[in-house]
Amino acid sequence: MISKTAKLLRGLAHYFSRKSINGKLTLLTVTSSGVTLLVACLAFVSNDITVIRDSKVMQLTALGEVLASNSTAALSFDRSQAAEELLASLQNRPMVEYACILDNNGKLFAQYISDSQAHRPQLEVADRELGHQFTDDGHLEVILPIVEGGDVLGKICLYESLADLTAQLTRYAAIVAIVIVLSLLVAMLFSFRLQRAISAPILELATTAKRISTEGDYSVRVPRRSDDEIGVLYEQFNLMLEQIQHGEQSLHEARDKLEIRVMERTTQLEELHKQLLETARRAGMAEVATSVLHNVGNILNSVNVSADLIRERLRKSEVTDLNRALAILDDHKNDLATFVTENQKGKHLAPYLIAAGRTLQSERDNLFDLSKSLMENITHMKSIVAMQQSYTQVSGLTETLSMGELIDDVIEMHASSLQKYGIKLVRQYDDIPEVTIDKHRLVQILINLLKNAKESLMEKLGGDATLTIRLQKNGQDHMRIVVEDNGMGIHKEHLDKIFTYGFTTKEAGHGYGLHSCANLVGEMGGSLSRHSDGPNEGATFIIDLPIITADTTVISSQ
Amino acid sequence: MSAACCFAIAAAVSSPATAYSQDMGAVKEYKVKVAYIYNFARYIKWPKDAFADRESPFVIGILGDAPFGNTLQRVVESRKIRDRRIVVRHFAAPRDYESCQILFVTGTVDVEAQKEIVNLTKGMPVLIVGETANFASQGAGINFYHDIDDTIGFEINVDNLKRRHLMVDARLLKLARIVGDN
Repeated sequence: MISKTAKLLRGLAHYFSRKSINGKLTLLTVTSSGVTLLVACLAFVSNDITVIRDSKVMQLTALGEVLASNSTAALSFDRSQAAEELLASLQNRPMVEYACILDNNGKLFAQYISDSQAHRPQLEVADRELGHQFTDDGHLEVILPIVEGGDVLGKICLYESLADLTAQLTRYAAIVAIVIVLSLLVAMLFSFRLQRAISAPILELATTAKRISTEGDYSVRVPRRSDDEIGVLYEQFNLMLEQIQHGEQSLHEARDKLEIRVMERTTQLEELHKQLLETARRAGMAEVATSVLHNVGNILNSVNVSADLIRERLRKSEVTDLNRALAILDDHKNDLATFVTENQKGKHLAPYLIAAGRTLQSERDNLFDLSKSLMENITHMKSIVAMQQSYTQVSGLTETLSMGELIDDVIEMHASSLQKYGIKLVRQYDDIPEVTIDKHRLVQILINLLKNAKESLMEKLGGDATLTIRLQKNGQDHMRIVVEDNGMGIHKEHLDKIFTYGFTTKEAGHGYGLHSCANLVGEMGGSLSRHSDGPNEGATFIIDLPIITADTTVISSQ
Repeated sequence: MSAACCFAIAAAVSSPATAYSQDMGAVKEYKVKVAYIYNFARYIKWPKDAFADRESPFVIGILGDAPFGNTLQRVVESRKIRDRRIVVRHFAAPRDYESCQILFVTGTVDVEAQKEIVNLTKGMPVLIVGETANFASQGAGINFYHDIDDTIGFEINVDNLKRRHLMVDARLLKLARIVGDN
């Protein structure tokens, strides 16, 4: 029940909230005046009805009292005819439908039935209590005692229709309805006129607000016309508009400024970009230079060693002693035969010269070897420089070649030193068809890796040093070159940093070799990875490369 | 002919059942008459000098044989008329008459005695009630008669009551047959 009421109230509130302000004001006026009127009318009508009912009761009671008083004699002397004649006087009061007189024993003594009634109503008057009552079927019933000289002789009952009262009530209802409807119409008329004082400024405000939101024109102002709350509302609205306008203006300014700043920034950034590009280019060149120096430096060591050896050989050369022997010979050129055969010194000269000749022969052979090695190294250096030049100038220059031969070529470069340090070389090549690849880069990478492996094996003390090189097919379109040594290995902590630029564990290292190797492999579309179980456990470097055959290659023109 | 006479003759000639019925009818008739006599007092007003003082009782006298025995006595015993207690007195003959307010002259009283008592109470505020034909026009104030519907009616001689300064209620007059002096 409560929830139902609450629901109804909510529904009403919702309905009310959707109405326009004019509608609300009208509804307010009409509802309040309607309710007031209704209450007033109901009060008047109910009062009237009460008064009418009371007066009806009074009248009928008075009538009953007169009849009772007049009927005492008839009752006393058992003259029911006289009593009925008496009751017949009720004809003057048409609303009385029935009347009767009962004697002291409750027996019907006399009765009156109005002409309008066909028969007497079903009434058990005898059992009724004295007094009056309004029956459910719209009648007033008055029952009075008939008393004479203190003796109760019987009672009289009057039964009157309240049809006139009902008619009166209907009339009242009609009047109330008409009055309320007319009043409400008048109230609506008045409220239409009067509510404009409230609604018009609010509606104007609403219209203005709508226009502002659709047109975005914040320069509009509403003229204040009253000093009440609506006037305050107008003022605040104008103030708000001013603030918005101001805010928008500064927003515009900020936006314009921002555009300029963005342009400035863009210019700065472009400048910076240029600088960066320049820096990068220089850095690239520096890297190239470092690379060249590194690779050349590696070989330069060998060159240096060869040069030192040659110089040492030359310094200790037998040529000096030979010259001294030759000077002695020159002193004895006139008696050369005697000197050689008879002089103590001369006797030794011939065997010495023979020995010196042999020594010089061996010296020449040695120096020839050294110079040959020197030449080889210089040739390599030249090739490196050429390679670097080609790398810096022509990126991605590819050749179609056999991988096995390429690896063999690289091994050949290191062959002498490997042999020198007693490093055992193992090769395991899968059968891979000719591939198209940037030869110079790959050679560069392999040289570096082989050199590292060689150095690692050189440092390892004892045991049989083995360098294993594998060429494997990895899936359908990848190959893998594995350079494995059982040398000094890589410390676990260094595994992660090993490809980082500047990282090195060598005294004379730059930390550049492996870094450039990783870069080069990456540029070739492959990857370089490493593995080591720890110090003295050896190291494995794996180059993974895509297989690009001549058929699949789109040869890029340089 | 008096009712008692009627009753006696009837009793003599009728069968026991009829006699019984007649007897019951007579008893009933007198009961009604007793009630009527009492009720008359309500609708008739006596002048002040009809009573000796405030305490004087309302006296109902009965002249002649009263076939209703003590019925009247019983009826009035516990009642009052106009705040006066009621006393019933029986007079055998007119000469026994004593002052009373209502004097019921029964049917057993002959015409001579009727005249005698009327003359005796002439001008006095006494209501003489009779049950003999024509008695109303010959000195009685109210006289019972048998109505056609076999009920008991009464006739009132308004002049007689007026002469005796008795005020009769209109409601009573309405029920009565009005007669005058002959």
